Amino acid sequence: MTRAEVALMGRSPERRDADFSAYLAARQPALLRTAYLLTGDAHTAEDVVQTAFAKLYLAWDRIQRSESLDGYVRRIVVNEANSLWRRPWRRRERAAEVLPETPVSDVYDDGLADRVWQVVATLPPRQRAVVVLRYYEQLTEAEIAQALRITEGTVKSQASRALATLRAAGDALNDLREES
Amino acid sequence: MTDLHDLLDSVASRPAMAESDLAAVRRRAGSIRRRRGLTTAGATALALAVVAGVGVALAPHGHDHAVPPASRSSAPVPLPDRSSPDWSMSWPASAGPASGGSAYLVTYATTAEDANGGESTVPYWSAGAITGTDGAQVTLPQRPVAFAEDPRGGWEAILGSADSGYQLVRLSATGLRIGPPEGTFARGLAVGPDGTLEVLEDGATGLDVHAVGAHGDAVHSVPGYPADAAALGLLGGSGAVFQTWPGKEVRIDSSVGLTTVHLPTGTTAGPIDSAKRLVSWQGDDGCSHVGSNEVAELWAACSGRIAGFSPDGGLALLAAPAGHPATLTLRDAISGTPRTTFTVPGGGFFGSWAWDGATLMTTVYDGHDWFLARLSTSGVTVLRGSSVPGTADQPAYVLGL
Repeated sequence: MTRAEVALMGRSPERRDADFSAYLAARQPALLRTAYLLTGDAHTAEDVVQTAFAKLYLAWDRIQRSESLDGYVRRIVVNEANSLWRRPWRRRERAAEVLPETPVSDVYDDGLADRVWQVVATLPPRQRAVVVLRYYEQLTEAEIAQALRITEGTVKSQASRALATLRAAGDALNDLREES
Repeated sequence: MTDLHDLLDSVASRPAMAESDLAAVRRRAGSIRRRRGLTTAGATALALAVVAGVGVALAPHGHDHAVPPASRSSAPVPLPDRSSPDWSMSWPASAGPASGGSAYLVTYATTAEDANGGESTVPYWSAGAITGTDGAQVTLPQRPVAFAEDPRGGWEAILGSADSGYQLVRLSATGLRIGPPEGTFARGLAVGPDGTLEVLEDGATGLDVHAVGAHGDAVHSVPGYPADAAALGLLGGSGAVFQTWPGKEVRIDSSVGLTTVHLPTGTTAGPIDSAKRLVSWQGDDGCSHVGSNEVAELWAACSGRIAGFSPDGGLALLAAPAGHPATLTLRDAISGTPRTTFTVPGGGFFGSWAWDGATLMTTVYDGHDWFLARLSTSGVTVLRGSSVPGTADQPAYVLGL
C-alpha cells in the first residue's frame, strides 16, 4: 500500500470492522425504532436499517472522518423510508392469513398512543418524517432540514401542518405537548 | 399535557425487531456495491459536452438472461514496448514506478470449446428494444442517447440529438410512454451510488438535481452554480459533483460537505473517483493526471485520457486515443500501475463502456460488426451471439446506466 493509499484509507480492515461493529451495536436499536415509526412495519424497518448500515459500511472511512455518522445514517434511513412510498411494487397494505399480534399496552397506552399512531401513519411522507425526527428523535429544526434536504422554514410548516392534523383528529389529541 | 415523544416511543417500542450483525451488513453492502457501478461514457458525454463524465449508475441484479453464453477471447498477448510514446508515463517519487500487466486482443471469436457461460450484467438497447438485466425486453424503436431503469418501474430514456434537442421520456415496463416528453431536460441523466435516478437541469438560481423516485421526486438545488460551469456528474441524492469553468477547481458537494480540489492552471477536469475522492484532469501538457485534495498529484499518463474509475475506486480506466479508442487500460487508481490492457485490432474501437463492479461492459466495433465484451483484470469475455452488423457512426448497442 502506498503512502497515499494509507492516507486515504486510514486504518487496518480489522480495526475498521471493529469500530463499525461497535457503532452498529450502539446505534441499531434506536434506529430500528425510528425506522418503524417512519415505515409502520417491523420487517420493512429492519430492511431499511440494514440498508442504511450497509451504505454506511461502504462509506465508513469517508464519513467517520467527518464526525457526522449519526446524521449520515439517519438521513439514509429517512430517504430509504421515503422511497418506499414511491415504489408501486412495495405496497404497504398486504393481505394476510392471520391477524397481526395485539399491541402490548404500556403505561402511556390508554388508547391515546394508538390514536396518535393511526393519524401519524396517514401523514404524507415528509410530514411524517418531520414529526418523527422532531418529536421522537428530538432533533432541532436545523438538523431536520439537513437530514431531509429542505429548508428550516419548510420544516416548520410541515410540523405545523402535521400537528394540526393530529389535533383535528380528536379532543384527546388537542393538548399534545410538542416539547418533551 | 400529553407528551408526543412518549406516545411515539411507546409505539416504537412495541415490535420485536431483529438486529443485523456485521456479516449481514457486509453481505448487503456487497450487494449495493455491485448494484452501484456503472459509468457510461456516452450518457455523461451528453451531460457534459465538455469532459468525460463520472455518472455513477445502477446495475440491477440479473439472473436469468436473454443473452446467450459467452466465449473467452484469445490468450494474453505480449505488452507493447514501454519505451514507445503510447506508454509514456510519469510518477511522483512517492507513487513508485510502473510494473507489469497483461494484455488482450478483443475480437469476436466464438468456438464451442471456448464457451464458459456469461451474460450482460448491464441493461442495453439494441434493435429497437431495451433488454434489462433480467432478460425482459421493452420496445423502444428510437436509439436512445442514454437510458436508465426508473426506481418507480420502467425506464427513463433520453432521445434526440444535439441538433434537434433532447427529450426525457418515461417508459412503462411494457414500453408504453408515460406522460408527455420533458423537453426541458438539459444536462444529463445518471444514477447515484444509492440507486437514485437523477436528472440534471438548469434551475432559476443554480443547478437543479431532480432525484426521481427514490427520494420522493425531490429537487436538490446547488445554489450559486455558475452559469458557465461544466457539470461532471452526480453523487446520488446527497449532492452534485461539478467543476467551475474554465477549470480551476473541482467542487464535490456531498453528504459530508463541500470538498474543493484546486486544479493547476490551464487544465480541464476529468472524471472523479467518488469512492476514494480522487480527481483527474487533462493538463496543457497533453497528459492525464490523477490526484486528490490530500495528495496534489498521484500519477500521470500521457497516452489517452482518463475515462473513468471503477465504483470501488480501485481501478482507473485509460482510453487511447481520444475519440474512438482502440485501447483501454485498467490501472491501479492510486499508483497508476498498468494492470490489464485491451486492444481492438484491425482498425476497430471501443464504442462505449459501463462499469459493473470491477468489470467493464463494452461495446466493440471491429470494422464490420458491433458486439459486446466484458473486460476485467483477469481477461476478456465476448458475449456469444452479440455480433450485429453496423457502421462506425451507428452503434448497434447502447449501454444503460
